[in-house]
Amino acid sequence: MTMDYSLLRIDQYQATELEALPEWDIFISAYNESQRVITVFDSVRAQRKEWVIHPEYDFEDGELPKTGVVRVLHTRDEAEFWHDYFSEADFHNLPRDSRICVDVTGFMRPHLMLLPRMLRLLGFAQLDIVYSDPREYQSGEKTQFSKGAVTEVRQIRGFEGTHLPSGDEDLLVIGAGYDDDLIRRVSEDKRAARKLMMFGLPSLQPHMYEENRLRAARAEEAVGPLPARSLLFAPANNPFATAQELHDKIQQLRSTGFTNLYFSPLGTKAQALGFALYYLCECVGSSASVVFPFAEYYTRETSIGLARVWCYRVELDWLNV
Amino acid sequence: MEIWLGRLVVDLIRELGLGNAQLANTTSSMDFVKGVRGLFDEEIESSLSQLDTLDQLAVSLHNIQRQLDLSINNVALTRSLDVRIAVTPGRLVFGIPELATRTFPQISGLTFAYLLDEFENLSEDQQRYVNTLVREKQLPTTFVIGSRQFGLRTQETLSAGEENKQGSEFDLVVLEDAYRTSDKYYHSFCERIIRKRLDAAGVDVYRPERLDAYFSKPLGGVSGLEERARIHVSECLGDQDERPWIIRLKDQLLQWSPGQDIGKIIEEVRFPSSPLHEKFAVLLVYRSWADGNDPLREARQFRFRIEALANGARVGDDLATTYKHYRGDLYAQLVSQLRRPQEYHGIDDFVLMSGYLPRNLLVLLKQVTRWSLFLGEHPFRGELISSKAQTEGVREASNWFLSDSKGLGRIGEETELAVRRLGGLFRDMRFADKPVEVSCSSFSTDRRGLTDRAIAVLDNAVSHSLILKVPTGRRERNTHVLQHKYQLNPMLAPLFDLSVARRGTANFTPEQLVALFDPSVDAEHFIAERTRLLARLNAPFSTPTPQPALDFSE
Repeated sequence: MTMDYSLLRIDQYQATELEALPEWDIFISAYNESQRVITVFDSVRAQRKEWVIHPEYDFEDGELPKTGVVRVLHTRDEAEFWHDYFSEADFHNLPRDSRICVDVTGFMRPHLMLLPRMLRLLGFAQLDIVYSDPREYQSGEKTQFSKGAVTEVRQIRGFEGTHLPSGDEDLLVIGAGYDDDLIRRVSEDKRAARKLMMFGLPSLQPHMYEENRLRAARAEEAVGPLPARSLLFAPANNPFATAQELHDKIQQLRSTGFTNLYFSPLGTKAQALGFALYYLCECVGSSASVVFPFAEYYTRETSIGLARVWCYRVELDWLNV
Repeated sequence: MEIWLGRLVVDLIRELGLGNAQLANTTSSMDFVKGVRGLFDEEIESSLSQLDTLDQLAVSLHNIQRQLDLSINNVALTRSLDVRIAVTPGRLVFGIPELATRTFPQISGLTFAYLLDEFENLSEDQQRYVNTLVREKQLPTTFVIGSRQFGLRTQETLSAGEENKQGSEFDLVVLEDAYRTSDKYYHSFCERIIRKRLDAAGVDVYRPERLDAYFSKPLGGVSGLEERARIHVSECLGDQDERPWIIRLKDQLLQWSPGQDIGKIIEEVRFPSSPLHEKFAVLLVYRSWADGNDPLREARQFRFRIEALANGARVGDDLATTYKHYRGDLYAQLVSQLRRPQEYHGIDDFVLMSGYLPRNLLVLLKQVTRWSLFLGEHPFRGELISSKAQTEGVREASNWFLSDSKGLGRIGEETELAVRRLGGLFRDMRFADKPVEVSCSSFSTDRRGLTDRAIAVLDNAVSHSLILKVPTGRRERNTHVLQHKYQLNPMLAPLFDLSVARRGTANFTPEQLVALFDPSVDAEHFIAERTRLLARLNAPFSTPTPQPALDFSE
C-alpha cells in the first residue's frame, strides 16, 4: 500500500502572527499553565472556545481559567473522557461540516490520539489541529513531565489490535520523549519485543535533540541495544512526516517479517498525532496496538515561551475506521 | 483465553504433522476435528459445522478469536459488547489435549504443558481465571507459570472463591531461593555465565584461572586494609595535616566535654604509622564517652594493647575481636572522611551484590565494562579494568536497580521512598562516631506495632526484591519470639555506601519502622525519629547507654 502523508496540509505561524490563524466554529484546548497554551487560546478566533480540564493536572476549582467555556472532566479513561465531553458539549447535534479546531499541546497523548477516531465515528470529515513549539523546557533535559507513579501500561482505547501468539518477532516502536521512566516502563512491558526508537529530528529547538538523547539513554537497560538501523527520525513538530516515516519503516520491515507490532508515542504531541494517524489509516484491525504507560499526574507547566504555532489539517475520511 | 489456548494446541498438532495431507483422510484427523466441534456448547461460526481438516479448524478458531477481539476492542468506542460465549471455561483448554492424545496414537500418553510467562502482566481478575484452570486441571494437561515475585496478585479462583494452596494445587519455585541454598554453587554458576558470555565475544576466558584477574584491585593490589589506609592518608594528606577524625574528635570534645584534658586524650589515640588503628582508638574513646566513663583513663588503658595489635602481636582478648569485626567499617569511614569513593571491586563483590539474581550481575558487569571503555581502557583484552571503572559502574548499576525494581503505581513510589530512607539510615549508622552494628544492612522485626501501610510498603519492597527476606529469621535473645529478618538488597549497597556483605542486624523499634515505611509519615517526623536514633551513635551521645554485648550472630 502506498500512502503519501505529505499531501496533508500544514501551516506555520510565528508567535507574532497569531492573528493570522483561521477562524473556527469551535476551538477546544486542554488547559494547563503553559504560556503557549494560554496565549494561543486567547489569540484564536472561534464562535465557541472551550477549555477541557484533565484530571491528570490536578487543578483545584480556584485554579481554573476564567475565560471561555470550562469543562471539567473527571475520568482518566480516554474513551469515556470523550464520550463525556461530546455529551456535555452537545457534539451529536453539531453540523457535520462544522469547522473544529483542537489545540493538542496540553492534551494527554492517549486522549489526543483517540479524538480523530471518535470524531470520525460521529461523522465529521475534517479536523484542524494546532500545536505550539516552546522556546525551551523549564529545566532543560531535567524537565519533569509526568509526575507521580506510572499506574499501568495498557493499550490505548481504539488502538487495540487482534494479536497473534507472540514470539521473538514482536516489534515495539517507541516515540522517544524526555520521560525516561515512561520509556523504561513500556520497554519492560514488552520485554521480548525488538525495539525501534523514533527521535524528533529536527527537534522543536536545536538543543532539544541532544537533551532528548540524554534522557532516553537513561532507559537503555530496559530498551536494550539500539543499532543504527533501529533508529527512526522525523521532525518533532510534523505529524505527517512522522506518519510517513512509520509507514516507510514498517513497509521495509514487512519483508523480514514480524508477528505483533506495538507503538508507544512518548515524544511531542505532534509526534503522538503522527503515530495516531499512521495507526488509524493503516493498522486498524491488524495485529498492531498502541500501548502507553499511564502516569497519575502531569506537570502543569513544563515549557517557557512560545516559538511558533503549527496548524495541521487532518482529513478524517482517510482514516480506515 | 479459552480460544487462544485452544488455537495454540491445534497449531501445535498441525506443526507436529499429525494433520498432514497423507493423514487428512484418515479417521484420526476427522475424529479429532469433530471432537473439537463437540466441545463447543453451540456453533458460533457457521464454518465450524463444515470442518473436516485441521487446517480448516485452525482457520475457524482464528476467525472466532478475531471476531471476539474486534468486538472487545470496540467496546470503549461503541459502549456495547456483542459477544456470545459459546464454550464453557476449560472445555477447550483441557478438552483439546485430551482429544489429541486419545485420537492420535503418535502422541498418546503425552502431557501437554501450557507455559504462561510474564504472569505479572495479567490483572487480578485474569489471574483468578488462570488460577481456576490450575485448580480444575485435568490430565493430560498441566501448567508452568512464570512470574516476577510481585506479579502473583492473588491465589483466589472462580470456584466459590476458593484459594489455591502451595503444595496442594501448585508448587512454587523462587529462583533466588534456589540459588541461595549454596553460595558456592551460585558463585560458580555466575562464573560459568560470565565465561560463556566472554567466550562468545571472542575473549580467551581460559587463560586466567580466576575471573578476578581481569579486574584491578584497590590501590594496585595492596593487601591488607591497614596498608591501604596508610596509602590513602599519604596520598590525601600532607605530613603536617591533621587527620579528619582527629579534628572531629577534638572539636567534639571541645564543644561537649571541655573539662577533659583534650590534648592528652588526642595523644593517646594517635597512631601516626597506622591510621586504621588510630581510627579504632578513636572509636574506643567514643564508646567510653557514651558509657559515661573517663575517656582519658580508658584511652591510656587501651593504648598499649592497640600498639601490640598494630605491631602484629597476637593479642587474644575482646579488643582484638572487636577490632577484627569493626575494621571493615572503620576503613570505610576513613575512606569517606578522606573524601574518596567507597571501594567495590572484583568478582566476589559483584556476585555478592547481585542478590542471587544473575541478571543483576550481568547488568553490573555491563556497566563496569562500559565505564572501562569510556575511560579509554581495553577491558578483557589484556588490560585490567580500573578501580574507577568498577566504582562508577557499580554505582550506575545500583541506580538502575532501584528505578527498575520499584514497581508500578503509587505504592511503587512509596516503596522507593522507604528504601531511600532505610538505605540512608544504614549509611548514617555505618558512618556514625560509634556504630553499634557491624556493616549493618539488615534489620529484624516481629512486625507487631507496624501500621497497615508500613506493612504494605515493606511487603511490596520484598516482593520487588528491593528488600530480601532472609529465609531463617532469628529468635529474639530475651523473649525467643521469632523475628522476621530483612536485608536491603546488596545491589543497593553502593548507592548508600554500605558493605555488600550481610553482617550486623539492626533492631529498630516499631516507631522507627513506621517512620521508615509508612508513607504518611512526613519528612519532618521521619527526620525527628532518625535524629533520635542517631543521637545514641554520635557525640555527645545524648543519652548515656550501657554498651551492649557485641552480637555478631547470624
